[in-house]
Amino acid sequence: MREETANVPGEHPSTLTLDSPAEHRDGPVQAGPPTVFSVITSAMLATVSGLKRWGASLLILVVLLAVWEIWTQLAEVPRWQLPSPSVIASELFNSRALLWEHTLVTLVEVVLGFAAALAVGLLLAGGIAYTRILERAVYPIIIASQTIPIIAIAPLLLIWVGYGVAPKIIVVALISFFPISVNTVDGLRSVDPDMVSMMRTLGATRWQIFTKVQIPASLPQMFSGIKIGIAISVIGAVIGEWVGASSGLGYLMTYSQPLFLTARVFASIVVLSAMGIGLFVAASIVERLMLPWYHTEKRARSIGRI
Amino acid sequence: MRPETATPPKIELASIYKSFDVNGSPESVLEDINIVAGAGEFVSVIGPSGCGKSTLLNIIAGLEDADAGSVMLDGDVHRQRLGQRLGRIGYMQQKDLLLPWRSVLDNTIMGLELNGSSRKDARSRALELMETFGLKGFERQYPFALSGGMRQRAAFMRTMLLDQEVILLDEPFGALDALTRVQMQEWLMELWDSMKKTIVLITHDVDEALLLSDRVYVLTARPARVKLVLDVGLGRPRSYQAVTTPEFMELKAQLLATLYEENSRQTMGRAGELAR
Repeated sequence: MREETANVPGEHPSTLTLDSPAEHRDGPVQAGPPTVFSVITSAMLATVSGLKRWGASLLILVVLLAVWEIWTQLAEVPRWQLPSPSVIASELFNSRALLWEHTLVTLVEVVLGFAAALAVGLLLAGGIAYTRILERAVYPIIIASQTIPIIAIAPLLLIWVGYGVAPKIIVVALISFFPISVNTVDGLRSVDPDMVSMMRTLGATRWQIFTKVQIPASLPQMFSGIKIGIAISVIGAVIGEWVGASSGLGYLMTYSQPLFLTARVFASIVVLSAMGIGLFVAASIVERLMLPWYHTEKRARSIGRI
Repeated sequence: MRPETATPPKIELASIYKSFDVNGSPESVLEDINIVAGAGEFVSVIGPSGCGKSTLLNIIAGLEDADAGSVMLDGDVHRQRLGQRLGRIGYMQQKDLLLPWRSVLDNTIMGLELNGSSRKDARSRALELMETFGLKGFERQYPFALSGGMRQRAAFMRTMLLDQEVILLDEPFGALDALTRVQMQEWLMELWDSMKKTIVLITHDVDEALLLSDRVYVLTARPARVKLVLDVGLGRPRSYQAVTTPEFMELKAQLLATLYEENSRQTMGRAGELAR
């Protein structure tokens, strides 16, 4: 049987028997389940193409740093006011033990807080998408809760749960659960109703439709929420430390600033943003591993195979 | 009513009525629809577009409830209730509705999986049929890598694997190009011949209806009523060459005349509405 070729450019309409579909395309898109190896290879390829893609913004960054460096040196801007990039770099190196110690504290807060946000956010999203009552009762409250400024709650948490690591974890969780749950709810709801009908005619129960169609269909949107949540969770940890802490990068900044250790404040900022980027990249890698079908399809579309 | 002694038809629709709420006022879609398909029969339903054919299939499948009338499977009135037929009647919609995150193989075994078969057993059953469905070599691909015709066959296989005795097809070849459509029709005829299923096909393609069916029901424009029941007395097996025979032409002329009359009535009706 000949396959229709309407949307496959460059394909030869040569197959004329039903039993030879293998001739279908000259180079089939590799779409099998990927191995860890293939994911790493494609990640490396992505780095190379990423360099092409991000080259321009990298260039802008380098120019900005150069201007900053030259200007602070020529205008003899005092270090306590604005340290030059080279001073910040040497501060990063000289205070590495101190920075590392506080980085670990902040990282633990971020990871624990994010884990809590993930668990609560996904459970809530599942409940909201599965039951009408929860949707009506809880969803408006979740959305309304986002209008309360976290920075106003953070000091109260100190009164309620003390100065330890707990209030920071709570702030991180509060700030990052929202994008996770809202995106996941949207994903769970976005299922094609015809697909649900199809499942029902195959005899699927409500729960089977939820687990076999709704959850997998929601994963791309769930990961969008996770990536936003993990990036802003670093902000949550800093806010938590800002209002009262004895360790962590946020604490290091609030402690260094009145002493005019401005280079150290900048060094902390560099480490914090590196942490945010690292966590975001980690989430993207997990996404690629979990959604091979989604990325293979996206890549195939982008290179014009289909 | 049929006498108790006769074997009941596989599927029987007895005076089905259905209306929908359109801006607060009920609009009748189906009126007194009677359709019968015996075991192993191939029946087509043809009618002007938008006349409610898909609603009819939804009712047969058990996705929607009729306002009045009954749908009987094997003459069993107890299965009339909404939902009772779900899972018992195969239903293939116009779209292939393959799950993009499942390989072709895992898409086809969905019905078996829902039924409680182990994935391993279901997969080995599906693998045996890959060749029949022209999907051999594509088992591990994701659906997006397949052409429209192949996706449609994969959806077909998902429907067939559950081994339901009645299969509903809603314009399954509507989205395919003309040549592929003809090949799919011939393929379906062979498949039906070997699998002995009862098939109810919805189409707006007169050739397709005549070529495949034992009987064709022609529906009127909205509200749909059965306007004509045409027995297709053509011998089997048929091939696409049948469309040029005089017998075929005669049946086709009869069908087209009925459809044309219905179409112009619908158009005239609309024009009349506009004039008012």
